[in-house]
Amino acid sequence: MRKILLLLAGLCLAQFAGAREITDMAGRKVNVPDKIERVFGSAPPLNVLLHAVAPETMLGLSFPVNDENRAFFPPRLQTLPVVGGIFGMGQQMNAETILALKPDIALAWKSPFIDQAKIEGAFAKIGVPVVFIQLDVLADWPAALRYTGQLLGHAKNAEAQAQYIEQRLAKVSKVVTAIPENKRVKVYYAEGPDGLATDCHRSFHTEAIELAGGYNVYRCEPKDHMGMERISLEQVLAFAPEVIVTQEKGFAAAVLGEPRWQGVPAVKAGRIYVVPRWPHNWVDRPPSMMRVLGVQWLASLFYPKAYPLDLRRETREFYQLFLGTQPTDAQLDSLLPPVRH
Amino acid sequence: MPAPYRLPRLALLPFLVVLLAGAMLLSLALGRYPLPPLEVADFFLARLGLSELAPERQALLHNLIIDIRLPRVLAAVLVGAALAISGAAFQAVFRNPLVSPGLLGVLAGAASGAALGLVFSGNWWVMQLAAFAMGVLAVAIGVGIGALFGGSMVMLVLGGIISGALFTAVLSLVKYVADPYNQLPAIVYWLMGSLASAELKDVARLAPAMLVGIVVLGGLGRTLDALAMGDEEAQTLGIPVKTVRYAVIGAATMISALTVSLAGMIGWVGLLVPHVARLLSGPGNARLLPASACLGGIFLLLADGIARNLGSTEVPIGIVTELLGIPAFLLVLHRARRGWVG
Repeated sequence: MRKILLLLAGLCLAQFAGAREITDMAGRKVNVPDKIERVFGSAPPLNVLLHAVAPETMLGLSFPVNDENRAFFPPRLQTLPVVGGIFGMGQQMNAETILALKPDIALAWKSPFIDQAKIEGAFAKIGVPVVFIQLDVLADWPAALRYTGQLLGHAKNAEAQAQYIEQRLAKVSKVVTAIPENKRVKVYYAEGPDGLATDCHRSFHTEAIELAGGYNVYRCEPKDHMGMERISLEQVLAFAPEVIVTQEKGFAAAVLGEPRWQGVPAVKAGRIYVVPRWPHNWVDRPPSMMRVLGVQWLASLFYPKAYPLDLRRETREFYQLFLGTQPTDAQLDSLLPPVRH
Repeated sequence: MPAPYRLPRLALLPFLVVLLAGAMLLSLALGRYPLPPLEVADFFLARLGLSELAPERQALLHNLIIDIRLPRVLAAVLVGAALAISGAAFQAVFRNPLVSPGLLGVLAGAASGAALGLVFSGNWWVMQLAAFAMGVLAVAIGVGIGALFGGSMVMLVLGGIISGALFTAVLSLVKYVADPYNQLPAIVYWLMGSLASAELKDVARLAPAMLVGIVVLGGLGRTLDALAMGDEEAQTLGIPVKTVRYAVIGAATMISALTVSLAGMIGWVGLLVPHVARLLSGPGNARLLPASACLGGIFLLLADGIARNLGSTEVPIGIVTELLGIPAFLLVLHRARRGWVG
């Protein structure tokens, strides 16, 4: 009996040996191991964050990676299993799968749209400490990078990344604020295979367009987290955008030859820009620090004279600093097709 | 049962056709783009060389009226007519006023086909083709199961239920593997129905088959009236009961699947419109089927008008048909509850 008690006491001690208490970005006190080597990111933006800060700790991805995209990931991440996440849509994580991955901690998305208690409950059930990270707007990312870097022992690299974001955003903002509202380029953000879904100018989905000084023609408050509100082609025509930014290659290719769209100034001028998507989307879905590159890219397209940019060089530098990869020339060509200003 | 709002026998169909034409013209004149409706008339006069328009204005009007509004108007009429006449024919064949064209699983099949096409290709064409093919396949499976167990009406319906459930499961599976950021919302909107993607060339491609199906069903009206007396009586009149039944199922399936190809999932039309038509035309299928087709077109034009004119956001038309349909259906039930004897 005494032996068993001793054993139990020993176990308890072992449990707390090398543990520390931290405060996460939601202000919660969390006990985490001293050495964190295995981290589960429970939503797409957190996977992008981990990819930037500590890719060696990643255990799985929350979204499937297609063949076109695979080559853009560093070798180790290409082989990770897809385990889903908690974000109320698409692939739900399976608690037992997560347990089998033996994570030291899990990262979760602190967002007004996401039910924090539900996420806490899900991870409490499998006994994984969960740390909330705030990532709502692009301006949150430097803090999120620094925090995660501190937590996972990559403070120096994360600091460089945070500074890059702050410095580049300041640079774009300086140019953009000088442009009066009536001189701003009118932008329509075309989503969905038919290009007839869009998002409000106040939505986090279109933040990159606003930061780059584009005037999003669809002025409203977002109704929900998902966005992608339907809009009729006549309404687009009435808005008369000078530029179309789209996520869909197929739409961009089809729209130029489509008689229905010919009345839209952006289509007449051929100013339709497809957002680079690999390995992570530059503008939205998931929203991540990739938007810093997206904002520079958009600003250089909207205002080529005011914001000249050597895009290929900037892209190389960004991928090296954040993603640990060196894109080949062929990869850059596929990411950045030639455009008309 | 006497129809409560009966027009003189000969006047009903011409009246509905005129009403449909009027609704189409009105729809062409209304839209989100600020354009005085009279200018639409001007545009057509200018096309005929009867009035003058600046070339720039002419180009804009052409873009608005011919490229953007006309395909939607045509698609609304075709889809509405196809769904309504399929519903009316199904109600006659199954001798049940509460069935709709989706009874044998065609809509579930077509929806899962569209979702598969969207996830695995993203190409518009492939999506339309997959929707049509899977819609037909779903009904084939439903009818096959029914035939396996003797081919009675009850077995057909059960087969349809099983097939519909199977394809609904396929759809859920596709939704599950879809990319949650781009594909899933696109599938969800597709399933709510929309005429926004209709282009003239799509409409031109699908219209012939839809018109053939509509005409075939319209022509079967008298035969269906004979069928209403019961299988054995119809057989003694020399009507090949099973052949007629499968012909109706075939034609209705084809055009219902095509409506999904063109406009996604639009509910209620096939269930509701035949009842409204019955109030006007009486229960005889020979008049009911063409009347349903016309009214279906008018109803969907109205719904699409609301969908695209209400605000700067487009309301999915499936939601509009439901919101319009439910009160209308209650009204019909109230008027007609004494008139139904199964």
